[in-house]
Amino acid sequence: MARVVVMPQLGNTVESCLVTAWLVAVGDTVDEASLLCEIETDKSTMEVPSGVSGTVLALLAEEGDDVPVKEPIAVIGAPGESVADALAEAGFSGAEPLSEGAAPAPETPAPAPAAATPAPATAVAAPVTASAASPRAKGLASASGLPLSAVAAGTGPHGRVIERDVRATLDAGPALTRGAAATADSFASAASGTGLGGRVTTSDLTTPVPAAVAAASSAAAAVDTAFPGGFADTPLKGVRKIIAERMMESLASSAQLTYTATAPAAGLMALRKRLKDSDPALGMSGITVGDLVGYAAVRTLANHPLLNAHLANNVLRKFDSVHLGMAVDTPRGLLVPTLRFASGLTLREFSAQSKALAGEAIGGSISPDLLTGASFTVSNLGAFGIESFTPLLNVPQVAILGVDAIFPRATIKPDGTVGAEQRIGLSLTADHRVIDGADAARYLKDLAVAIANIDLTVMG
Amino acid sequence: MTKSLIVSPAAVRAKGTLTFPTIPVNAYDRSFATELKHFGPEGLIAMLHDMIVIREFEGMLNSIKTTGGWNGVEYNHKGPAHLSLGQEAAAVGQAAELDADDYIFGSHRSHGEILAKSFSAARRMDQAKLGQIMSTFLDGDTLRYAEKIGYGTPDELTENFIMFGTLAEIFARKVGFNRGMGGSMHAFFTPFGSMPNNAIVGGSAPIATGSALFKRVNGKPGIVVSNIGDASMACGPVWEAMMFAAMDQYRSLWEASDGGNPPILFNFFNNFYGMGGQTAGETMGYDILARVGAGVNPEAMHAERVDGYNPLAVADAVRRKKELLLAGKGPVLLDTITYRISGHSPSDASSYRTRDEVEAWEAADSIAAFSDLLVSKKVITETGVSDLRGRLVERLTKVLALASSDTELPRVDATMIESVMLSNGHVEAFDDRAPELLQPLAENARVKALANKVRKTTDADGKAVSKVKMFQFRDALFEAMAHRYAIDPTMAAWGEDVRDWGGAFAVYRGLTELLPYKRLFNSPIAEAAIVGAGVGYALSGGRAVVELMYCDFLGRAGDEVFNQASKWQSMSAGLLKMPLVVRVSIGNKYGAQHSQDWSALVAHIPGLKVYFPASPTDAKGMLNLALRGTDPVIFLESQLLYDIGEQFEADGVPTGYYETPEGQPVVRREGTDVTIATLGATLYRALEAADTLQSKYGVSAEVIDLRFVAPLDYEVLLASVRKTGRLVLASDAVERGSFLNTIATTVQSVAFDALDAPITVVGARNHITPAPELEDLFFPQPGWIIDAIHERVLPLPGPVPASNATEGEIVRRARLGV
Repeated sequence: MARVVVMPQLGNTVESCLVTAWLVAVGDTVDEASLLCEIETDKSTMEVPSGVSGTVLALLAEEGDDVPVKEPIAVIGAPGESVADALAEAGFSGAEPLSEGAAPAPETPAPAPAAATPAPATAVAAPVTASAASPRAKGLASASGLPLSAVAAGTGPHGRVIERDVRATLDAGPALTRGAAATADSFASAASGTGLGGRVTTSDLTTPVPAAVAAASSAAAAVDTAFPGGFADTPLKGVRKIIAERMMESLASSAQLTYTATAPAAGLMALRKRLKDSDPALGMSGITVGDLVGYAAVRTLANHPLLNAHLANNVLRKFDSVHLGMAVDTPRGLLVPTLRFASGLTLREFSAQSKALAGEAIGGSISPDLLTGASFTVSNLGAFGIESFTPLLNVPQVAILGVDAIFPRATIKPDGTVGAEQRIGLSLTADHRVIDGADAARYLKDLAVAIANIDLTVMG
Repeated sequence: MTKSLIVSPAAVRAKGTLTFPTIPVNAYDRSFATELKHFGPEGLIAMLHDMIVIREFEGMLNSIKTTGGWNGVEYNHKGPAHLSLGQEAAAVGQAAELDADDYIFGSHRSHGEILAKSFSAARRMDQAKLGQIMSTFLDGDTLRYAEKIGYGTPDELTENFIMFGTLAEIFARKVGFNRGMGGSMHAFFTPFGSMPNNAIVGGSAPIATGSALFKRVNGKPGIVVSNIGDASMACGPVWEAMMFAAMDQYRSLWEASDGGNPPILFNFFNNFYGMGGQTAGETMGYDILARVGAGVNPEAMHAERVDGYNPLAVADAVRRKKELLLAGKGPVLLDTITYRISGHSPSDASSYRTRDEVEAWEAADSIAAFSDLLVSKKVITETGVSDLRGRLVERLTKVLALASSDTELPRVDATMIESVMLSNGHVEAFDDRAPELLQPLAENARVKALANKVRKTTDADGKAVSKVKMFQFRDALFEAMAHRYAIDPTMAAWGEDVRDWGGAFAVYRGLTELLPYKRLFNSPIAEAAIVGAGVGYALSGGRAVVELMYCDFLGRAGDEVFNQASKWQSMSAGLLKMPLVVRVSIGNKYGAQHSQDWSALVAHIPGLKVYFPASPTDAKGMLNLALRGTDPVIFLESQLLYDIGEQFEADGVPTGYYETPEGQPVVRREGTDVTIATLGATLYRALEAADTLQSKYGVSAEVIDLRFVAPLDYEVLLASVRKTGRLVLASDAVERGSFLNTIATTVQSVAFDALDAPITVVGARNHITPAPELEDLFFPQPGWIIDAIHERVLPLPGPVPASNATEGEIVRRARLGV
């Protein structure tokens, strides 16, 4: 009997995974260890082993398909066996094979089957909106990222929101970025904004050039290389798509702003040197400046619980422990594994566990469960020489600390002469809905003290 | 209507009396020796053979229907079985004198006629032709099974073929004579001259008349028999068909070489009952049916009553009448008396007749009497008769065993049925002889006049052209007709006042001079016969164009349009074609009975194509399309449009031949805010509305002329709706049940997400069409379209609605039924 391979459940909260690449084709012979495909959750990727040996009879998803967990993705068996029967046997009578074919070579019968249990129903009812709106109006609003509730009034029959109402809201809606506003005077109008939140950007204003100008420039371009030359389109998918959505959501749903400060780094550098030179038997030689700053940030949060919190549905949840999100640059994009209960760790534990997590994230083997749940995040761009930046919140978190590079900065010494001092930059983004400027400033001030006295901080 | 016949007061007012020809009643009087000489012993035994086949065949079906089996073969036949037990001699006697070229059209009770006609025609045919027919019919499918049954001689294989093909059809098998698409009441086999059998009482009369007309007009051999029942004598279409067949003009106005009246024999198989109603004595007043002939023409239709219980008497009558018909002296009426021993159907308890009556007819049984005659005259022995019966029962048992096998014999699937609903063929000419014209087309006065017309509404300087100088919608129709007349020799057209007058709306003006009578003639005011004859003409192999002067008269031709023209292509499994164009004019200003757009009625009937042009260019292109096709086309023409010129095509109506792409609506005005799609003359009011919407409200309306009802390609409409998000549909048909509602449902189903408002139908009020002074209360006006848009689609800034287009009003009208 042919066996059905289902989409594995990657962690308790994962509902579906993206098939990013098939590693086998219909007709291929596989054994238990053969890898069938690569899959990706919103934050990790992994490969799905066959689990059974035999011939690939059918692949049930296309690359790019988002498949609910425990749904069938492939059927493996002996050549000529019925895919439909296997699916029916496993309780998936409705599944349609994407590709199916008789494999050429005979094959040993499949041994133990992969666990194939009927999938739970995945149908999701469409949300019902209270106000009447035409299908077309809803479609336009949805495509434009405009909540229907943002449409002030419907002008259709009986106050129905119709297309023109959505258009009117969209036309009136986008604010100009400062640069665009400065340029706007010389142009009649901008058709639509392509900036964040639909903002009209300077580039939008320069795009719709007057017809006469367009004709002239196209004539000129004909002499040269045809405008715009070559390009490559890459549809967003997988982690990149998730990141894009999360970042937009972050900006759209919070009132975040960034506070920057610096802290003396001499102590950090000295301690780092000592650790690096320490006896490897102590297990402290791998602790980095980043670990030290992160450790200091966690420690400092103990006195600032407001920053170690989630804000969702108008409820602020302050956590007893710090679960530290650590932004990690991975080949698939930004991942943020969570170092759980970071506030209870010693420096050595903190360093070792964060390295392990980063390694798993980079390698793609991290459990999706460890990619959620952080209460505060640190993003370290110091190694790239970044002087200052505005990290984006991982909503529903209310604060994120950006760690900048250490630079020598001019200082006036106690004796009045001018000198230089190594200082590290700190970029704290906080959600102003719950964290006022003074709250953020107090935290940064305390953190700077903790860093300046890092040798004492790590002892606490 | 012709100047060559004078209606003289002196003549018509002169005193006199009418005398009628004597009508023979059971006048058969031929010696057996004469018959033996005529038929030969084999011919007589063949008749006995055929009678026994029918008796056993019908007895078998009766047993199947009432007991679920026969002779050890069990089968549950779901379909009907209207049996002709007792009527065998009538069917066999008739067929004995008919060739394959002679056509018989029948009724719901025609199993016996199919079998008798097929056996007789097969016997009279040379073996090579017979073999060719059987081996090629349905690609040899039927023959392959007939061969499985087992046979010793070619005659036995033919027996297998005829009995199996008929029974398989009755059992709705894919290898039946009509692939199971006809069934018991509609089975037939054209290669042997067994033409469609009709389950509508009397339905065959006008169709058979049209088939006879086809033979007459195109010089084809043979006669046509309309086998209908005594009860059909009261049906309007039967009377209309007799009037149509008896017209004086065939002899008074047509060329003598045309051959006289169509060779049509109206044969009434008179079994004295219409289901249970007793014709003579209860539901009719003719006493003897043959008497009716005296009311039709001076020859009393050569009517006779014939003893249908004697096959030789029937054969004698058919032989004599066939001679008259071939000589152009028809039509003929035969009152062939017979008796149905079995019930109307297996569920008939015969509560309307006595047991004694049935037993009296059983005692007079035709098969017993005929076999006794042949035995007494030593044509066959008693043993010979029982051997013949035994052999036929054995064969029929094998035929039944195979035909009843669900495993051996599949039925068709839905895809096959879909594939035969329309033939979608293109035929330039249905015969290769030269088309008969009275003058070269180029010399026709109207053709010459049209050469000088301006083919659009404005001249080269952009000035409006006067009506008399303009090439009009009616001229466009004329050009299409003239074109096809000059190419297809079989094309003929008839209707009320089409010749001399040129049609009530002058579409055919000029054709009188172009065409001989037989290709264009005036019919009696008999819409059922006009359309029914067109059906018979078309399915016999010719192209017919018939005209209903007003759409309101469609009811008069209801059966012919709804059940006949529309059905025979598919009921024949595609073996028959129906190149019939029914031109239907839609009126206005004539009040309630002459001003209705009934496009919805024909839209509802599967098997019809429905065209409705609204511009001169489309009138010509769409009629050209219809006149090269092979499907029945209801061609709707609005009388509001006959005198309009072309205003959409920059170069005017093309002079050459072209066809409008079938099923394709056309965008007549581009717009972005709302789509207004129309059917028929409403197009021009929609364009007015579009002008107002633009100028007064800044709303850009896209106007689409749908042009077609069926088939209809929705893509153009959907693309427009996806662009504008709004659709208003308008036509002059009353709103309730309007075809526009079907379009609305379809568009909403397919493009729901594109819609910004409910699809809105603007039709005529659900009222009678009032006097012309009040028509703006009834027909959709430009303002109605704007009001509907304002109230239900896109509120406009500040209009004052002139009509009530609100949802509440829709509900109120529906509640009141108006």
